[in-house]
Amino acid sequence: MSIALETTGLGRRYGSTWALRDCSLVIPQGRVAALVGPNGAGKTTLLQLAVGVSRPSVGRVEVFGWSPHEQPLLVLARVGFVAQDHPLYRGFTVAEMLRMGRKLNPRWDDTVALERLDRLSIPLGQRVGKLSGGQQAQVALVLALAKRPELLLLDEPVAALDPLARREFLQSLMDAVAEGGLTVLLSSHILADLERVCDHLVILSASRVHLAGDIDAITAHHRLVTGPRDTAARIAARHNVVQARHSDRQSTLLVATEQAISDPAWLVEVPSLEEIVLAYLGQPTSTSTQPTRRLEVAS
Amino acid sequence: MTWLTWRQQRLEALLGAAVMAALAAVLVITGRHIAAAYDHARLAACSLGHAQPNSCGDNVLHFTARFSSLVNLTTWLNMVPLLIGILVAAPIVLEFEHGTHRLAWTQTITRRRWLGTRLTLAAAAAIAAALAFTLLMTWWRGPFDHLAGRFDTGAFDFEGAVPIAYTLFAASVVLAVGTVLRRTLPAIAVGLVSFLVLRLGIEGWIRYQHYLAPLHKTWPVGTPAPAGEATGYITSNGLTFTGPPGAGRQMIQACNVTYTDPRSLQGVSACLRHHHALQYAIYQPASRFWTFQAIEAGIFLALSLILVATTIWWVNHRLT
Repeated sequence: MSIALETTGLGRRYGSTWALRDCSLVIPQGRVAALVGPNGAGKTTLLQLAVGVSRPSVGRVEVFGWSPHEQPLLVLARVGFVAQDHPLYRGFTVAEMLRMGRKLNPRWDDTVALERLDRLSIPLGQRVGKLSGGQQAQVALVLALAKRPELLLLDEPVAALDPLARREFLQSLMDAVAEGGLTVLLSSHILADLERVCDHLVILSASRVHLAGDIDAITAHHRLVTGPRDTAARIAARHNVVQARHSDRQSTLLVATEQAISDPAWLVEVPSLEEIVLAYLGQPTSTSTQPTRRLEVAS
Repeated sequence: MTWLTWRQQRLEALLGAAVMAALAAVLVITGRHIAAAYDHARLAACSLGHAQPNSCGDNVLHFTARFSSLVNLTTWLNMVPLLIGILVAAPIVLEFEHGTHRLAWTQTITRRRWLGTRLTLAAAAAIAAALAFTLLMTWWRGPFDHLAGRFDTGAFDFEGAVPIAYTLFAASVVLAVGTVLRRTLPAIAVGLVSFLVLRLGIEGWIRYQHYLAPLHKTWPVGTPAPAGEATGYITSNGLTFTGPPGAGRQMIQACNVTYTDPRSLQGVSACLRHHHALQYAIYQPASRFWTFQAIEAGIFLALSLILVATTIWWVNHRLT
């Protein structure tokens, strides 16, 4: 398994505040990974560190084995990046945006760009500022893809889009992935749309990684169990409880476990990915690091 | 990268070029007019501090009075370096404000090269525009400078090296403040205020008083003034007296120094000379023009360098 992105003890501090802390994760090549967490969790910081827009305060980040800030050109040539709010030169025409890409990127592929824009019916002569939000996001994606990247980083690419534009954007992304050879890491504070697209998940909350792994493995290692409240301690003693919700007599626990749960008093279900994510995002920071460590290598 | 920089600064460049062209047109038209009047009145022989034909006095007075309001208007052109500075720096700051620098930095180009190209081209444009402005103003002011020297503020501020230094300073302030704040309008506001404070402060309280100590000279009434006094910058001048206290007043009464009748001036002068009165002046001689230009340009260029260095450091270490 070759590695697209690897971070080791990575942290970034702004003044006295840590935007990202103690982040160790591996994104294997070929994955489409969702980076999920609430606003301010450090998702943008992680992506900016990966592309070299930001430098680590501590730790290391490597993209295909290179450090983005020590060997910027090696990394930049292989990484496509769509920043939050997909910034574009609003006064430029679409054709001028392509010209910029052509001039600044040795691996630039005009055919890729023109084909995609044609498929999306985005006119080359149009000023970028006059395009709809969805079209602007598409242009930003086209610019990133025409670099023929091996790793594509997208920061909240669909957050500002309406549901239709969101679906179209993700469709474009899936088309690009289907063409092969691409690893994707995209951040979002909502999971709903990403579940169809992604096969790998990283949960980031309060500047730390809480869970990282292939979605299949994550789902396989979590169970949602419901049973009498007075015996909940029995489950907690044997399994790692990520989140517990209690009503008067009943408890619902989301547990991270490798073993089967064979207590007849308890109903065992496979949780949805959303339930798992919400459970991790809902838990207090202090108890969060333990399950992370165990599941980091679950792929 | 050059194409991208040009494409991004195109609007500002064209706006600046249009303003400069309009200004040049006005200056060329009025300047030709001034030069014609100057030739017509045969003022070439009337430079201050030299022996002058008798015809000079009235002709010079008439010439300067005729164009004084026009010359006063040029005071407003002190804002031209600020304008040029804003026009070259604002597009870079706008990029940080809109976040589009993240688009540029994630193409296959290093941040160092991106910043280097942007700063080099901005500086080149600023210097070219400021140089054109300097040359134009120096030509326009030629007749006035020939008559009265170019050490006074109305000439000093537009000639030599200082307009370029002022321009680079204005651009650097807007750039540095804008890079830190990532806001264009506040950066321009800070640029405007610091430009005015520094320019007026130095001009009013530092340049003529402290760059070099002013000369104190006295000479007998009726003998020529020291070289470079009349065309230099005069802080104060007048009559001074040797002798017991009260001698001056007695002498002024004796010689009837009232200046009411110009024809009596020669008689007054002879009388003062007879009483051994001296003329005095505290002044910066005209020969110090380039020294002062170098000091003033040096101050503004040093500040610009500090601001640009701050910008580069901030972009490399703090900006994401």
